[in-house]
Amino acid sequence: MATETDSSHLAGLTREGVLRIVSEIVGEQMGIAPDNLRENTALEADLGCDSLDVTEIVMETEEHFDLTTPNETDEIPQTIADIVDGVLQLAGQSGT
Amino acid sequence: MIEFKSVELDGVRYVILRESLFEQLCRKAGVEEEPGLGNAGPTEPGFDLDRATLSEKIIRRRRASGLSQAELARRAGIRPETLNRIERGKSTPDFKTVRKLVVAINAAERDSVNQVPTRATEKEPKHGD
Repeated sequence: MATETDSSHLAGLTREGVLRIVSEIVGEQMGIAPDNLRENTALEADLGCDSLDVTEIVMETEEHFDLTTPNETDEIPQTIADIVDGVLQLAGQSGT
Repeated sequence: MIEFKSVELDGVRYVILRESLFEQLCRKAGVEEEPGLGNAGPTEPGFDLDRATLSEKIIRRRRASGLSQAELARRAGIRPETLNRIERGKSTPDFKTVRKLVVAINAAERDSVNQVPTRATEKEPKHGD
């Protein structure tokens, strides 16, 4: 849910920009060069992430963009695109 | 000794080993194999394999932070029995539970790093006074 915080830092978010950041976070967590990651890269099947890795990636992403996943969310992102979509969705909610 | 070959594709390293050996490793890890997964994508069955690595990581990090199972469960706000099953690889926690564990473990690791040996903070009677 949107929170009453300054969301000005989210104003210029583009999909490409979010993808770049998420790729860096995923790359750092898994020891992989971000350039080798794509939107359709599957976190578990392609990178060998377990649920702990995925959770830490999500939390790191939230911290970077100052966003919070709603508590009722229980969907585990399967791909990098899922994480990017999540960020853009939350950013869109914060901006309204 | 486990014989395997490793290959790197697009920056990701993969391991190739005999199927019979893979099956042995799964049995040893307490992971159930599911036949016919050839056309499965990254869906639920994959998280059966997740149990073994997840439990190992949680146990390793919990012990490194000096926490007991009971203490980690308390900090994470989950039942000790739940954590016990997770660490034994008997259940796969949902995303919310994993998140609670990660938060608790990260906090414990930070506390462990920041812990500075100090003298007793409680006032003690001085000898000779």
